[in-house]
Amino acid sequence: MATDNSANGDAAHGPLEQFEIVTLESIQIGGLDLSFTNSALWMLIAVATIAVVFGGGMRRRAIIPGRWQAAVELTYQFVANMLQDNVGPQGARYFPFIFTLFLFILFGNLLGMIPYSFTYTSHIAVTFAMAAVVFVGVTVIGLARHGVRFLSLFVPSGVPVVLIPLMVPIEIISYFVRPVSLSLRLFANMMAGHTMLKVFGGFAGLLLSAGLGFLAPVSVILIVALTGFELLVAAIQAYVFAVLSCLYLSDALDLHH
Amino acid sequence: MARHFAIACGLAGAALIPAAAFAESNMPQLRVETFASQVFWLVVTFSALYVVISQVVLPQVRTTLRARETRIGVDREQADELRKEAEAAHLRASEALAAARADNDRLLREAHERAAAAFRAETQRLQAALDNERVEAEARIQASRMAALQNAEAAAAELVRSLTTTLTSVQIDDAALSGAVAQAARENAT
Repeated sequence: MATDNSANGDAAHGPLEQFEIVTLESIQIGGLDLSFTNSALWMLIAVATIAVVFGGGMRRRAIIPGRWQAAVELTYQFVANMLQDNVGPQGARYFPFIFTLFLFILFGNLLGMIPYSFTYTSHIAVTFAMAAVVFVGVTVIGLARHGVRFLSLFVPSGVPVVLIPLMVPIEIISYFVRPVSLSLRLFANMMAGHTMLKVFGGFAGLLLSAGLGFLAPVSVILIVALTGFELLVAAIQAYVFAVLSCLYLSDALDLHH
Repeated sequence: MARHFAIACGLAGAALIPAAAFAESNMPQLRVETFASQVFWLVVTFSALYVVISQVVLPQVRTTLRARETRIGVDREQADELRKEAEAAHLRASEALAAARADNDRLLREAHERAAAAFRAETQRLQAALDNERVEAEARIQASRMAALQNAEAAAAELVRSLTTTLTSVQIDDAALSGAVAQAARENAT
């Protein structure tokens, strides 16, 4: 995406330039700035890509799937198995949400690997909003299902009575840190990876301008290796976010932990 | 509300990222004024995706998987049935084969016995016929021999008579002549 160079001066050329949010269409509603930005554009592109890939893959609904359909079905099975393994059959109700969450993060991460694109998952506002929805949703589900007994989640079973005053605050803190750790993990991974790529890219340019151009290929080779690594991280972080959401859901549905 | 929330998470992010340089270099992630727009478009696009996934994609995938499972189940049942049928047919065939083989053996044995019996009967019949013929022939030969002998005696007697008559002009008594010829024949025969 074209970025707003003039507004940020020198910083615009630094490794953080790629995270700059640029307003494409200003929208102000009730004092809130809800402008359509590059972040929003890439969210739309991700949704459109997913719709095309998954709608297109299933357009024939063949008994014997082609490669495209098989890819869609494998993704479905992958998330379905993840939910089944971590939550069990009662998690099936939440499958559409977990599936959407996984795809939204996965495609955000992967599309972010396209040069000059924008990675909406590298922004804490987005990752925290998703983590907060998971956290609030899971807590509401747990309370609705178990009522007050849900609070027994904070009292680990099999702990000596003496340790309970110590364990309960720890459990409560760890419970409320969940959305923070969940969102920070994704945001920090995406941001660190993209920053690193940019730093190595900038380093190659620096070597060239310093008359050490023969060293530049080393930097470029590192970028290639890092790009592969980042693609892996993109998939893994989407998986981790979805798996942890499943585990939290499992905690709320089943209090035996 | 969204703003407080954003500040809270921004602080948390800044605290947990070790590179202090990021924080002082005006991190785009910490620009609180962009949070409302990000969260708003997140909600819009995520909801749209949720609707597409839950209303269109997932039902299609489920239908397909179910259809495949049904198809595989039906095919497997059919295959099972066909296999059982094939096994039964194989059993029937081998039974029929064994029966046919037994029949064949029996028929062969019977035919063999019949042929042998016929052969024996025919041999016996031929043997008997031959024996008969031999006995008859022997009888005929004997009769012929007797007749020939008698004829020879008569001829000899006639010869003796004519010789005697011619040479001696003596009339020989018929009874004495035949007795003498018969005696000579007997003596010659011994």
